[in-house]
Amino acid sequence: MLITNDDERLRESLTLTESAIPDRISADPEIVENGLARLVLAIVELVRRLLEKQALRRMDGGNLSEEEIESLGSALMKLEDKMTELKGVFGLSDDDLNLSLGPIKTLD
Amino acid sequence: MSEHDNTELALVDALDHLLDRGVVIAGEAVISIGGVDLLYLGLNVVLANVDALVRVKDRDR
Amino acid sequence: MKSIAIGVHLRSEDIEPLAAATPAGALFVSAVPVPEDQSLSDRDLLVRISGVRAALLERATFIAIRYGFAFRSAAEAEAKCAQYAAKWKKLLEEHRHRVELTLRVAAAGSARPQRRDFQSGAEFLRALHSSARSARVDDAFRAAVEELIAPLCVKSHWAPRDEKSIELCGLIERSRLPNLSRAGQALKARCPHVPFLLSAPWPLEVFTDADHE
Repeated sequence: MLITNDDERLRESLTLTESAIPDRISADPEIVENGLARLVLAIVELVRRLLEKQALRRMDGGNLSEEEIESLGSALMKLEDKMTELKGVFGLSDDDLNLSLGPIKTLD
Repeated sequence: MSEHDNTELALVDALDHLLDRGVVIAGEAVISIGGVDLLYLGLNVVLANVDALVRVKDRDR
Repeated sequence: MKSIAIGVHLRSEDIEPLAAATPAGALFVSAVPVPEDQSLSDRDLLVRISGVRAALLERATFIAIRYGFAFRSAAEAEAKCAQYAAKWKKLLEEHRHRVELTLRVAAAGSARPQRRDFQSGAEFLRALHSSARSARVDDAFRAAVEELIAPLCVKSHWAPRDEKSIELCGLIERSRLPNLSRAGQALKARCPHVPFLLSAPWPLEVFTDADHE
């Protein structure tokens, strides 16, 4: 059963699922070459977001020591710094790295 | 709200349940940063995609 | 070939012929065999797996395995399940006629903390955590849920998902699903302006942790 007051905000709240399922990667060599940096960075950004989400889950658990919290937080800051640097190097913006490639295809 | 919209929403909801919940039993997907283990199983879903990309590149050599 | 694991079940009859049943100690793991080089992030595969899960759930309740675990032998599956087998058997017997429900609510949260505003890792992580957990649900809506939905459940609790949503997870007797459907319609009628999504049934996904007891 599914009962809903369908709303844009609700759909947005489910978008991590959408962006975690990238659409088919093109097999055309030219497109692969040109899109390579963007795709790899998009995947690295996705990994960073997933790691952050997982870190928050560990925080929920409440079992991290003060050192671990500092260490984890510091690593996350460095990851963000690295992403900012890489985006600068390749001239890519946050929008360019958005992995959400369209609505999920429905079953026919 | 149309029937079609609801089907798509149901699908996204089902995929969210599939990817984001459940017991984790495959220990090999342990990623650790800052010395803290963050067990994330879904990572191999992402990595599998990188594999596909590498294979396409190899075919072109 | 590799087998993508779906769930842990009490009996092999609960699984076949919808999926392959692999013995793991006193329990059985359901799985879908795929070619070794099959990408796990293939959208069509994910949709197919969702379908198999739903069909299996119609048969009997099972404990859902997080997507991504693929094994190549029964020995591997059994070894991975060994440390939890006793606990899972107990859960599966206790909740034999129960399923889970989720009620997801879009919530207003605060803006994400900016990395550049922080020097210390601990402060940054705490700020991220606090922001993610600040998602609030409308009080009137929460009261309506406590009145209409929670009483139908054997157990239920609220859990934050992310900055954009919060969720009520519930364990409910299968026989009460029609009541849940009516309650959901009543909730929709009472709170037409709160974006929510109520869906059921789901396998045991959240109520497998001792933390929630």
